[in-house]
Amino acid sequence: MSSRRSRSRQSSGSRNITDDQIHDLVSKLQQLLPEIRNTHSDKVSAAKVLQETCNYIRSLHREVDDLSERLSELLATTDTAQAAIIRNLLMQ
Amino acid sequence: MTPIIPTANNPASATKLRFARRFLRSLSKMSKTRPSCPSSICVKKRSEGLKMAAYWCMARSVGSRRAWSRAILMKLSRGRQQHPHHHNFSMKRKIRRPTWLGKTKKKQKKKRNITCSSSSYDDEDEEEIMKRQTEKLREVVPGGKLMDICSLLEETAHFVTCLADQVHVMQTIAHRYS
Repeated sequence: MSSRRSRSRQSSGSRNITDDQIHDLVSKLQQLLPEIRNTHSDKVSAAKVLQETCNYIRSLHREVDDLSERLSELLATTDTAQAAIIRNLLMQ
Repeated sequence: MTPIIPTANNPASATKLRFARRFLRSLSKMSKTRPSCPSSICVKKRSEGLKMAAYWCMARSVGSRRAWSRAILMKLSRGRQQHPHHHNFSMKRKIRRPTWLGKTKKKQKKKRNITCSSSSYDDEDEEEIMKRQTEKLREVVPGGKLMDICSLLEETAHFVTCLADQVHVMQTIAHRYS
């Protein structure tokens, strides 16, 4: 990655293309984030988008942890027959 | 709660539906093979197993099209090979927890030693900040350490979408069970 940067510094033309690609990908990522998706992309820096992405991914992992605990507790008390019924309902 | 039914206009939901099917299958397998015991140790073990099963099911639903799903499948199958009897990912002590699941606080502290000496907001500081954020992103995205920046950003976008779908499916299931 650092070698690509030093190569791109030598020719400003190729650096612009790489920056544009990165800018497009970063704005695509910004659309997925719930907090800053409505903000105009020019006002939010790429570093901020990456930071928010890391925070969002970590919060999703925490949600998965909590939901696994909840489902585990529910499994302890629920029938397997009920699980099959729910599965059928969701498949329709 | 919105149903998990894919529409013709939204092919991405096909992955969500595949995940929902696989996850429900794992859930019913888990409830059949393990007798339900309400003790806290059992619940904790089962929740760890459920969590690993959720990531496994999502990675299988995406398949090997994405680097992040391949990385998850590789890491989880390495854990399975160490403990072939525990098909439901119930053994947690010896399986090394993948770094993208969050135990990276120490590593992050080391990375923060790159201090920006100048307080002015110039291009070099921006690059340093971008570099730092990119490194953090590589740690949370599975398989992120081997990718170039463009692939990393693409993989992150897909990973975030799938993770959000996974959370939505699990919330729906928990809602219907309770």
